[in-house]
Amino acid sequence: MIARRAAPAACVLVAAAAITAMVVASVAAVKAWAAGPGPGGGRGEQLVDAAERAVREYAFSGVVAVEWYESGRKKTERVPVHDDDGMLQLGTTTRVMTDGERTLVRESDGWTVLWGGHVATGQRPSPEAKYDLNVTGRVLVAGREATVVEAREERTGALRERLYFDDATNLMLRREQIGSGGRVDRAVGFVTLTAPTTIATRRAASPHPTHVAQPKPVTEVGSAYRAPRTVGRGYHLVDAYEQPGGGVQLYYSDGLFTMSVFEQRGPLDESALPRGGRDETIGGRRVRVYETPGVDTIVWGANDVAYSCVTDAPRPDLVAALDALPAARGRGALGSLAHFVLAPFSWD
Amino acid sequence: MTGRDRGLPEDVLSAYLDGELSAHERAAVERELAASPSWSAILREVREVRAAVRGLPVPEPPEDVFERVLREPVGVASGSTRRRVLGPWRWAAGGAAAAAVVVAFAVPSPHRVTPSVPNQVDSHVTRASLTQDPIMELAPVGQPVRFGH
Repeated sequence: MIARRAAPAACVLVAAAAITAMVVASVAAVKAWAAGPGPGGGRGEQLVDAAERAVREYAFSGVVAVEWYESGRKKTERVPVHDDDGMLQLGTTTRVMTDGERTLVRESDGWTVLWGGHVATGQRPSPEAKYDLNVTGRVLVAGREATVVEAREERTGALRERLYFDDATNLMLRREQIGSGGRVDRAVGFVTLTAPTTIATRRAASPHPTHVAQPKPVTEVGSAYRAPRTVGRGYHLVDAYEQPGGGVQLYYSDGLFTMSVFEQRGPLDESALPRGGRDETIGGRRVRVYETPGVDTIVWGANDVAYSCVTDAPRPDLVAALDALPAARGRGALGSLAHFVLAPFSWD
Repeated sequence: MTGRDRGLPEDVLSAYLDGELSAHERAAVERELAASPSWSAILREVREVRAAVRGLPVPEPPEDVFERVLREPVGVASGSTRRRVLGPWRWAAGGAAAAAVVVAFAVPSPHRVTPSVPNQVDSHVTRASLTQDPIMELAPVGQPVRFGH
């Protein structure tokens, strides 16, 4: 009886598996066709790759507008950008400078090296593992013809990002992050741009640094820290670094958006955090949120480790990523007893 | 400046943590820290020792200590009898107090930390600019990151 009933069930399972395999194969074939031929993915991903190369191939000057929201209010800042034969300088008084090998930032008492050329980096994951990148049109950006690429999350179809590429040089002219309801939550884009010229001889970033604060790559983190291989929805651990001031930085990417998780051993001293953040509850944990141009920073403490997540990821991705990281727990009976006994002896 | 100029690395790093160094000296220490694992290890040790010292207890006397001292019948003949009766309890109380002090020494309160949000933002976008579009990543920090504006 049992054997007779099992036989039809097995047939149904086999048929279902066959149909599923056919559907998956068909979808993959359609996607491959839509993406177009050529190495490195479809046209959208090729433009993303070409834009990163173009920055190293062209000299130009312009002004970039940075737009973001702070507590629901839209903010805009204009930043002069100048590429002098491969040496990219950003800021009114050049706050950041990079030649692609070395990156320096100007501080009150001189230049600090944040990155040196000898530090190896992992590869950016392909965005097409998570997103459909499609060319959707052409528009003018800063007076230049540009191709528009939209990135939609494959799983949900949600529009996450719109990218604009210069037709003449492939330089990325504008990047818009799309939030819920189609609002542009964050944007960086040229408002003026002089005609780019091909670089003949590359120049190196020249300032003599007064400080060095570059991270040290590590393959393992200490036992006090957590380093998940993936967090959230498709963010892969690309690199891990020991920070000069102590603690670790874990760098994640999904191909389009990026996320650094900083972990530092010791209970978080919330009273010493900078002003301007706001307290929120995300994924059941109490956090301090700072909204700044380009990225948000989320700070919290758990299990005697201070965590910060610096990211340009859309909010649903951020919420999912935090789920993979420790949250503050209650003390429990033993912890409460220990706290009761030891609290009078503590200055904290 | 090196450890040889100012003394032992422990002294230099202690001054570094206390913010007692000039900008020039501080830069030299940070160069040394970036280049020398042993200096980084010493810095960690100095921090840990400070955290342990910070966790030492400050014993508070009981609220009624003065009243009890005034009530104590010092030198009274019958005191020897009382001392015999309370003797074992006093030893137990003394032992408990000593144990509490030992526990407090053995379990230091960890040093509280505060992430430097502006530095972390700079570190993140710098790393991102190496494998993402550098203009789009770095332009947002082209002006210093400000808070509360």
